[in-house]
Amino acid sequence: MDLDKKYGIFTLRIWGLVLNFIANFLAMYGTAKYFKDEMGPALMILGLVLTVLCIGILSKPQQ
Amino acid sequence: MTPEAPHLDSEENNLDFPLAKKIPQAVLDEEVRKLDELQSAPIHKKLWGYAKLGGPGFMGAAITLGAGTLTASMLSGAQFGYKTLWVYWVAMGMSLFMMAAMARFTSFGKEPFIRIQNRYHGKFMGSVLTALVGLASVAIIFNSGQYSLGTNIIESMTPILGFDFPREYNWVVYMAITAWLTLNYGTGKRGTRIVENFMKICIGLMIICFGATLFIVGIDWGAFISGVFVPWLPSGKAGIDLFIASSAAAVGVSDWMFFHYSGLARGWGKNHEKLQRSDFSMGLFIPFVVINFLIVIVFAQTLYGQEGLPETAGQLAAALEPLLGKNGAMLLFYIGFLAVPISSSVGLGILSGLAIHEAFGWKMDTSSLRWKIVVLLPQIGFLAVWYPNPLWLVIIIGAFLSLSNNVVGWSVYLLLNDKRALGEKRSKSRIWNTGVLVQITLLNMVAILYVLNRMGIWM
Repeated sequence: MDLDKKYGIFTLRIWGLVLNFIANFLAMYGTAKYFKDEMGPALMILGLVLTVLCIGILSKPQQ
Repeated sequence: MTPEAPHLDSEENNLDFPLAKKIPQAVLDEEVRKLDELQSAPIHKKLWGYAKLGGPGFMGAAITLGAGTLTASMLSGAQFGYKTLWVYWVAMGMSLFMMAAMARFTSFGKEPFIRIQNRYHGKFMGSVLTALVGLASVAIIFNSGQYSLGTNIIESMTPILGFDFPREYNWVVYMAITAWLTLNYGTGKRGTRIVENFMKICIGLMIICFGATLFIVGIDWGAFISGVFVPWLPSGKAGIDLFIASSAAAVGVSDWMFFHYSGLARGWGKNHEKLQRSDFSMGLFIPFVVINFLIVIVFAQTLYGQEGLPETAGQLAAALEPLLGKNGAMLLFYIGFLAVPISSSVGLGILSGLAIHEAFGWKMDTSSLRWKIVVLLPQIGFLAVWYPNPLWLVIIIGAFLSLSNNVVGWSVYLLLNDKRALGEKRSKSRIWNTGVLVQITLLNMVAILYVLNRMGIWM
């Protein structure tokens, strides 16, 4: 996967940072709702898994 | 079309940085020769040599260890005892990846960092978000917290010396010391070294004075070892708040940029990357962790478990008086404590000068009236002696900072991986990139926490 190839206005690396931010938001929102007993842990876990995936993929250096 | 960066090697680049121009080339060459000698020296000589040659790392520690960080540590010790000690070394350890990125730009960047941002990520990212929001506004607005704490400490400590010096008057002395040191910076090797050595002395004073206080109050070694190595957080949202705030607050945009620009001001280039790494390890990591440990332990030993704890640093320090006694021990604590706001105020003045000049593309000339005015702008914080910052201003700046710090972090990560910015010296390490991305994720979470709080979802 070439993270530095452009897709639309941004490179994949930038899209990855945006996705990571969304994943972080899901994790935090899910955590808030979970601790308020308004939701199960699914959203929080999804956010955390996505975050780990994003970091793993984005850690690849430029070729 | 993307503009191309000028093809300069790092040495030429540093000569293009005006503050470094004040240092004669012979002095820079001598420093490189000493560094070469240290390469083959025994480890103890090498570390001592690096500590003597270093400086920007200690200055970074002086800025980071300001009124806000110290208040948080005091509260942490008073509320949670030893249990949160692990957060400090983990948080600062993670931020070292970002500091290493800034060291790479100092040594091999084709231009100073904000100019690289302006070139590849636009002026909104470089001049506005990084220089004006992330650096200048922090320097100007948050210096009032240093003034408030510093004048409060002088007022509290002088009766121990046998006279009264109320804050309504002592701010003049505070201003004279910090302004003089700030104006010395960048006026040549001697001026810069005076400021750097002052910062080293302040850090040393904090360690000696807080260490002496700790000697008096004692230490619970079992709780200490458990606190350092066993992760613990208060349950629920309070725990997450504490971890995110402590870890992201450890080192932020102002610390990254200050380390980078103060390295450039020392004329550091491609021969100095090792020195920079040792500088931020010995000058920033170790003092930050040790001083926070000392503060947390002193307050854990004295105020932990008590009801109705005070909330400000001045009140917390005053709460120690009945326990330490109004004598030499309390005086020692106050001297160490006074080094915190004074060194931060000096650093914030320099940061203001660097940031505003970079934001507007002005040439940094320390003998110009413009430089003097800009570095002294944070001194407006003296008004805090009578009036705290207006709440609306603190909220606006806090919002901008929370929401922009992470985006500047994105910019650092992208440029660290950009061939146009660093050529063959860009990051080629997955581990390094992972460390930087973890730091960015923490900053993202601070921004998200801010939004969720405002929406009433988090609290």
